[in-house]
Amino acid sequence: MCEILVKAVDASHADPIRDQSGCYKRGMPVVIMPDGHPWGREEVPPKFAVLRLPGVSADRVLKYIEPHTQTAGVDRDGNPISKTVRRRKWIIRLDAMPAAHREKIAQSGRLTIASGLYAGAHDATWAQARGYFRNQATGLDEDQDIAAVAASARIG
Amino acid sequence: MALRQVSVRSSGGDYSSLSAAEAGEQGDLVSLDRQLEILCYAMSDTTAVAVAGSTMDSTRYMHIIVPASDRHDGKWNTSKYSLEVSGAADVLLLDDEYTRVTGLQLSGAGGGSSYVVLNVARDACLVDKCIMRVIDTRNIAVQTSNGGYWGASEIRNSVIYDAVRWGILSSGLTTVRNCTIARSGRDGIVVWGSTCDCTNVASIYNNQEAGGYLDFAESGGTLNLSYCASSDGSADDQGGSGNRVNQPPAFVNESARDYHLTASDTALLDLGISQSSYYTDDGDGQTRSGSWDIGGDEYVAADSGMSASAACAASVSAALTTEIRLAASPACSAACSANLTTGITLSAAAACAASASAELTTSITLGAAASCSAACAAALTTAIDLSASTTCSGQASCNLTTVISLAGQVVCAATTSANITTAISLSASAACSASVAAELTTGSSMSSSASCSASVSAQLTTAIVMSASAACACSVSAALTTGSTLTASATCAASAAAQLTTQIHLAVAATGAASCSAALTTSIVFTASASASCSVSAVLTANAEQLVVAAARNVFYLDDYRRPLVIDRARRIFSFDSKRRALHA
Repeated sequence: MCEILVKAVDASHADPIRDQSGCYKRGMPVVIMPDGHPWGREEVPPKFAVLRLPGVSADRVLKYIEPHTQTAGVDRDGNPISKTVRRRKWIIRLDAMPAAHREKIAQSGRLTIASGLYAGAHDATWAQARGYFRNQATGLDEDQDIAAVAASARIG
Repeated sequence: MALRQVSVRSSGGDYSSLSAAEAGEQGDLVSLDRQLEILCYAMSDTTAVAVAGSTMDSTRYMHIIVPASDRHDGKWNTSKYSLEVSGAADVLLLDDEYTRVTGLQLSGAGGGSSYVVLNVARDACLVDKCIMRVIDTRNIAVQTSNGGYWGASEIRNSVIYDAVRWGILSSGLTTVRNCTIARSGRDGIVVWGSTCDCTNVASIYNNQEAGGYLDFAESGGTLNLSYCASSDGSADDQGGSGNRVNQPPAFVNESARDYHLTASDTALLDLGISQSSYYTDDGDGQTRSGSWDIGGDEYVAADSGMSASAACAASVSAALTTEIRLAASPACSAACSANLTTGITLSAAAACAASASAELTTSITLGAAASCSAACAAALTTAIDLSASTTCSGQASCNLTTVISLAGQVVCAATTSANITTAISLSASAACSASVAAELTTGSSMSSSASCSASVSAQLTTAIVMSASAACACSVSAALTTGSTLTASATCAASAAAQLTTQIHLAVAATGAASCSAALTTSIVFTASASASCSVSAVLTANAEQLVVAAARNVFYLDDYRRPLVIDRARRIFSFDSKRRALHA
């Protein structure tokens, strides 16, 4: 029921601080759209890949496009000031995926992950794929059932 | 220097969201010696955007632009491009120097008080002709926190409203020109640090919390004002020249957040100072000239009208909203791309050769001998009359929803692909050779001598009447569900593949040569002399009198004495029940 557009190549900046905080890196999710979304001409390899999650609604995976931020004090009104550490808190370790999956992404730009109630054709199951979703804030890989992932912090 | 342009469209563009475009185009534009334009076309975009990680300078920068055709007209417009974000993120964060933004509608809802609609975190950014609005919880509509080393960031020709606390919270080196800031809970503009220079800014009806807040407030930094106006007494608190206090502007509709000025305004109109060395237009692209107005809008008087014999050879791209009249003999050779919404009259002998792509919504009349050769791509929704001798050779691809009348001698050669929903009448001698792919749902009538050679693939659901001598050569593949009547002399040569469920009459001398593969379930009457050579695979349950055909290659005949003669491939014998007037095996 949703598709995740993932940056497939690194962007870089001469300033290492802005490189880390501002540049998309390979494997960072960019946007989430419903199944069958008409992706644009540029939203294809080599710049991007699409992970299809036909059994999961978009609001279940919104956390993957949250920026990685840190609180940097409060303003004079008492509101927290947040500082961007990375463009995305989560990164999908595309290069750690099995060769077959990497090849499928390189060739077609798409990888279908069976999850939730979806029982159709797929390249991987969520149980197989979730270990490649890494939370950069904690360093831990995803271990939750996608159907149970809470949309606690929605974005976009 | 090269110019690279990419498009953001809901489908068929280079990118399908601004967020993806920024991610895909991120890079060192200085090394590439490139100016990048990201063109955002009409759509509702919903993913938060941060412009960061690119390298730009004053000539090689990223410019996010909504083209004028897909841009708001100074008031929030849901049919134009908008970036509307719900949740915990700034709607648009500018975190690269020299970024430019033109014509966006930005809206933030939910996410808590810490997030803002527009966050300008770097120097030398330029935000022009934008609308920034807060739906609920966000404290700040626009925040600036740039250091100023590369110069001030500027917001101009924009409208900012409904912030929970501050319309603009400036902690960076900021320039604000020709903006309207309204309905903030606390201050319209507050400076917490650095310097904010405001010129021609209207800060109106803020302090909605009633806590002693101001339209213009200085709280730790420096606020410089010139030719600004406030609805309270704060516009001259910091000195400066040309400032006006306690002004109640006359907006078009303040409660609907339409901050266009009206002609009667005395608070802002002609009371600003020219900024023509920086720009010469306003928030909706109209030219600023003469004495400049304060705020995001420059009042421009409407045209006074075009009288009889007037010739309009001009290119009209503005909104023409009321009582546009082209009287007898006018010639309109202009390209009309504006909204023509009310009382458009093209009278007798008028020739409209123009391309009308606007919405023509009410009482469009093409009188006798009028010729419409234009391509009509707009919505024609009400009471369209094409009277006698009218020729419509145009391409009509819009919605024709109500009371479409094609009178006597009318020839409709157009391709009609729209929904035609009510009371379609083709009167005597009318010829419809068009391809009709739309739904004809109610009371459609084709009277005597009418000839329908069109391909009808839509649903004909109610009371379709084809009277005497009518010839239906069409291919009818739709459902004909109720009360369809083919009267005497009617010829049905069409292929009817749909369900004909009720009260189908083939009257005297009617010939049904069609292939009927659908279910004919009730009250099918084939009267005297009718000849049906069709193959009917359905069950005929009542009133079968002259000739009946039944399921799947089993052919039934009634002889001259109405006794059934049955030949069944399986050698089953059928009989005719005269009481129940039905055939039984």
